[in-house]
This record gives sequence, C-alpha cells and structure tokens, in this order.
Amino acid sequence: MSVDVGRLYEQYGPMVFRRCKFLLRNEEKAMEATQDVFVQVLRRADALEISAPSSLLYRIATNVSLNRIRTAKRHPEHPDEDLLTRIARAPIVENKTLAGAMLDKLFRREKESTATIAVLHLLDGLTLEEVANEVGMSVSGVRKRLRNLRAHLHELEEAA
Amino acid sequence: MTRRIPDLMLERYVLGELDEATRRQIDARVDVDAELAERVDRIRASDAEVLARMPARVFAVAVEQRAASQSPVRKGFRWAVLAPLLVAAAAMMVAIPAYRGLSSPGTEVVRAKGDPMVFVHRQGTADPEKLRDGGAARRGDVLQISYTASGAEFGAIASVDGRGTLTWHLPGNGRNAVRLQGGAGVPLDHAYELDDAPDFERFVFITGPDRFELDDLSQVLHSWSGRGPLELDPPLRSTVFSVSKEEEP
Repeated sequence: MSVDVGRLYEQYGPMVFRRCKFLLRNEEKAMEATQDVFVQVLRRADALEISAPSSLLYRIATNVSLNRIRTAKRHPEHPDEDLLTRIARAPIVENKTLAGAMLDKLFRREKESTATIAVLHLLDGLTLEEVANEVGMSVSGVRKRLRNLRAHLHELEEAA
Repeated sequence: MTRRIPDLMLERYVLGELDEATRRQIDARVDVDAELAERVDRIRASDAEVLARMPARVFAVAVEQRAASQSPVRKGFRWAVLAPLLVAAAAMMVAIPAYRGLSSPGTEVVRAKGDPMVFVHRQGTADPEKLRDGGAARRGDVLQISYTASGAEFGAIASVDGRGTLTWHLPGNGRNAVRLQGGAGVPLDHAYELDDAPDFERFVFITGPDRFELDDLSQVLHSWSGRGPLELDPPLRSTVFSVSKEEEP
C-alpha cells in the first residue's frame, strides 16, 4: 500500500510532533523523531489502520521517543539537561517527573512494548482498559506487564 | 474528582476520531471546563503552527531522504563494501534534521561525516519522486532540491541549464554562501520549476569550511563545460547532480 506522507503529515504530523516533544522536551529532537515516525510508517504501511491511524502513530511516536531517551541515557550529550529540565518544570509536572524518573530507569530493563504500556498508563493516565485497547492486548495482559514492571521498580527502589 | 482527560484522547477528539458517546462526553465537559477548553484550543493552535513551520511538502521530502539514508542493505553484499555505507548511514541517523527557526543559541549541532550531497525530487500529486543523477525531466516539472552537508559548514547551490543560464538556489538572494544545516536531506525552502531550456539542468553544490563569495564562482560556473567535475580551488569542494531534459511529447 502506498502512503501519501504529505497528506498523512498534514493530518497527524502535529499530533506526532507534540507527542515527541512532550517526551523528549526538545523541539529540534522532536521534529527529528517525527520524521523517524513517518519513516517507520512508510515501512509499515500494511499495518496502518486507515480509518483511524492516530493510535498507531501515537504509539510509534512513543516508541521512537523512548528509543531516543534510552540512547541519550547511554550516551548523554548534556549530562545536566534532564535534571535542569525537570527542575524548570517541577511546579507543573511534579508527579509526571517523578514517574518519568522511575520509568527512565526501567526502560533499560523492560521490553519496549512494556515501556510503551508504562508510559501510557503511568505517565499519560490512560486506564488499564484504555491501554489494552491501544496496544491490542487483554486487560489481564497489560496488568501482568505492569506487575512485572512494578517488581523491577521495587528492586530498583531497594537498590537505590 | 473528575478524571483528567489524557492527551491522546483529546488529540483524537480534535481529530474527530472518537466514538460518538465519548465525543459527546468531552463536548459536555469542554462547555463547563475552562482548562479543558484551553487544552483543546492549544492543540488547534499548535496544529497550525507546526504546519506553518514545517510545511507538508518540505516534510515529505525530508522523510523520503531519511528513509533512503536508513534503508536496510540487501544481504549478499560483501562486508568490505557494506562498511562505509553503514558508517555513512549511521552518521546520517544522528544528524539533526531540517526544522527551520528552532535552533537555540548554544545548541551543539551534530554533523554527518562523508561527502556533501545534493538531491533532486520531482513534486507531483503523490509523494515526491526522487530523481537519479542523470535522470529525465521536462519543462514544467517542479523540482525540490535538498542537500546533505556531511560536516561542511558553508555552502551554496546553483544550477546551469542547456542555454548556459546560471541560477542560484541557495541562497536565493545574496552574494555569499550560507551556513549549512546538519542532517540528511535538508530541503531548500522553495521548489524550482523547469523552463524550456534544452538538453540538461545541472545542479552544483559547492561547500567550504568558511563563508565564501559567489561572484567569482559565477564566473567559474559560466565557463564550466559541465563535462566532468567542477574544479575549484581548495578548500572549496563541489558535487554535481544532472537532470536530462526530455523532448516535449
């Protein structure tokens, strides 16, 4: 199936960009990630749900951004950037930042899909049912993934 | 306490992709919740801003270039042949893309290594078509030029047609080379419609470590035969992309 990237971008590009910007906290990196999202769309054209592609694009954007966060953690360009950004935004997103701090540690240990599930539930505030719908899993499957993740979280907290 | 509506749901609300019942619920809340109404307004304003700063046409070209630079390599190639390609692809993947007007002072730009390259895409009703060097085009074709600086700091792009007419595309106006953006496939901010000049259109990407003047280069380009590379005094470098002009049907 051929994909009209320009038309798809006109409709969904801003949403993808906002998602990447929210997770990466940097406009330039977010636009780069947005381009990567649409590159993946070109390659996964068969999986695109024509009726409502927003879900797939949102999840791809989340995955792409998480990959970048993970890479940045391994090769930090500016070691203080994350801390500075969190301090700057603390009054607005204190809870999210705390959750994000835990998630950042977990991403290195969990499968990518679990990281996406965790972000959707813990950071974005989707219910278990909504997350299950998003990722095409059962609620019990999502709950199990999160239980495993919480076990890792507990380990990390104890090790800290 | 009323649950905060997740961003994803609100995005779908603005896109008109929610089911009827959920849409009505949010409609009702927007009417009485000023903070929620403001979030919806912010999404709509952001939509317009993003599309204004990165138009769809430019974005599509950038994505195609990016996809080409990240293409998986076919099995069966010898590793000795693959290695430089993979290194170049990896360098492109870490380069910063074109998103004009967002660079902040002090931002460190990661530049790709390798040879500077110039690309040409033909605009159409569907996705832009990437032309190969030496490929055919005809009068009226709208061409989008893009470049990969590969670490070069300054550059300029010109074209010379079959009548010897010289046109500077980068910069469109000005007498000096411009600072190049990092990243693979940086599109120029305008497309170029081919006129009826015969035989060919040759695009030349000239790069250097420092800003250089274009007047002297115009003289060199006018006297260039177009057969073979454009010889320039170091540290300037050039790369050429040719388009053959097809006869009218």
